[in-house]
Amino acid sequence: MDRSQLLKGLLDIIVLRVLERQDGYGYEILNRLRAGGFDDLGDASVYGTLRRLYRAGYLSTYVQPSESGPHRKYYSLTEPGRKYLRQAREAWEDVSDKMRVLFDVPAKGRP
Amino acid sequence: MTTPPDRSTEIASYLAAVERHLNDLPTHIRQDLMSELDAHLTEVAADLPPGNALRDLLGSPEAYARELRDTAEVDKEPVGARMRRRLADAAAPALARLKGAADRYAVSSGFTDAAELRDRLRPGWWVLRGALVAALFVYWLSAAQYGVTGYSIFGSIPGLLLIAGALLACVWASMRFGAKSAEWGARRRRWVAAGGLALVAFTGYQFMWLGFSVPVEYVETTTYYDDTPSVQDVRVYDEHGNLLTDVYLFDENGNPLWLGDPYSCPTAARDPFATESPYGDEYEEAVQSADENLGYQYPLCDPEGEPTMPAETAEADPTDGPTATAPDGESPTEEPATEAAESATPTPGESPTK
Repeated sequence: MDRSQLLKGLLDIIVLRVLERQDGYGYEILNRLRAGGFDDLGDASVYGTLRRLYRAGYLSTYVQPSESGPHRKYYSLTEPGRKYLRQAREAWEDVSDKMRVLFDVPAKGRP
Repeated sequence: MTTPPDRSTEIASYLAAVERHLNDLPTHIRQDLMSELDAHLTEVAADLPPGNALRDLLGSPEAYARELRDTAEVDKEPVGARMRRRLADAAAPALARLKGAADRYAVSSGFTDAAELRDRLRPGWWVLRGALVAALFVYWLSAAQYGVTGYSIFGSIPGLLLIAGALLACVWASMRFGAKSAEWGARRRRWVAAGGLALVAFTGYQFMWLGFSVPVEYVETTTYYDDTPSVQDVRVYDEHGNLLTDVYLFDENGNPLWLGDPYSCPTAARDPFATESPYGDEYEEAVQSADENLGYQYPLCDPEGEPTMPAETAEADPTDGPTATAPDGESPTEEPATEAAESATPTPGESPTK
């Protein structure tokens, strides 16, 4: 199954959660996600989500020069961003619990 | 660590391709995505191992744009809205120029700008609008009642009163309507403006006949002049200037040419249907019909004493003379032609004709 569709609804939570732990810049965030097992996420998805969250005021940016290569634009959570992440996390856990219960009920006719 | 290869060209072309595929997004979102994408792709390219293309890591620009679009949470702009936006964008420079020209025109005539001029002109337009409605009303009414009663109201006292009354009423109503419409919203006022334009166009169409109708003139046509001189007779000459007699004329299809007028001869006309045809005298009926097929026999008139031959063509050549005969050998008078050719100075008058 194509997990990118499934993940699409969770992109906000995923990106916000990654940035909650530590500020990051575009491509590095993707690498962190890949390291975390989210192989199905594309660069454009992460970048688009970053821009959208930024437009919504959940993220702020600052530029930091790097030792090698161009300057990097770092994203960090704003206070509304943290609040949004808390709500999103609650919503996710609610849904997740229900999904677990749904799948834990054994199918009829099976042990 | 080696210096990273210069990837600015690759990035620029990738960016351009992505932007092309985001063309239908609302401007502010597209601009936001694109403004940062430049820096983002530069970051990505910096981490790219040498030998790898941007495309290998990120996929095709089209797929990238699609993914961006999905996560940017914007629906595709509806086609209608996109067309309107494009149209407005395309028309904007022309409209700006038009507005500038209108402003200059207004300023040169002593107003502050075109808007002020328009405001000043507005009551005048209301009056004109009312007058147009009145004109249409009176026109239709008069046409309808003329069709029934046959009485033309134009030029009569009741008609004059009706026209004046309609004009006053319609102009008053139009001005009232105009004053009221100043309080309406833009949408409703646009409809009013469109209605006004339609009214002008329709009135123009209704009264178009005023501009195009030409007063009918009856011209006397009893005398008919024809500049081309009419042919009364045909004279055929051979190369020696000898008049050929008892000649028939045919067109290329073998149909007789009915040239000349046998009744126009000053003296008694020869019989245009000379009966000395191959059919002989004893077949009167046959001859008449045969002459219908042959046409007139030329010359129609007796050419006696008429100097009609151009002198320069009259060259004596006795050897050629006998060959001159009437077409198709139908001339019954072969002998006189030969005789004429033999004389040194042939004259048309000498040719035997009877």
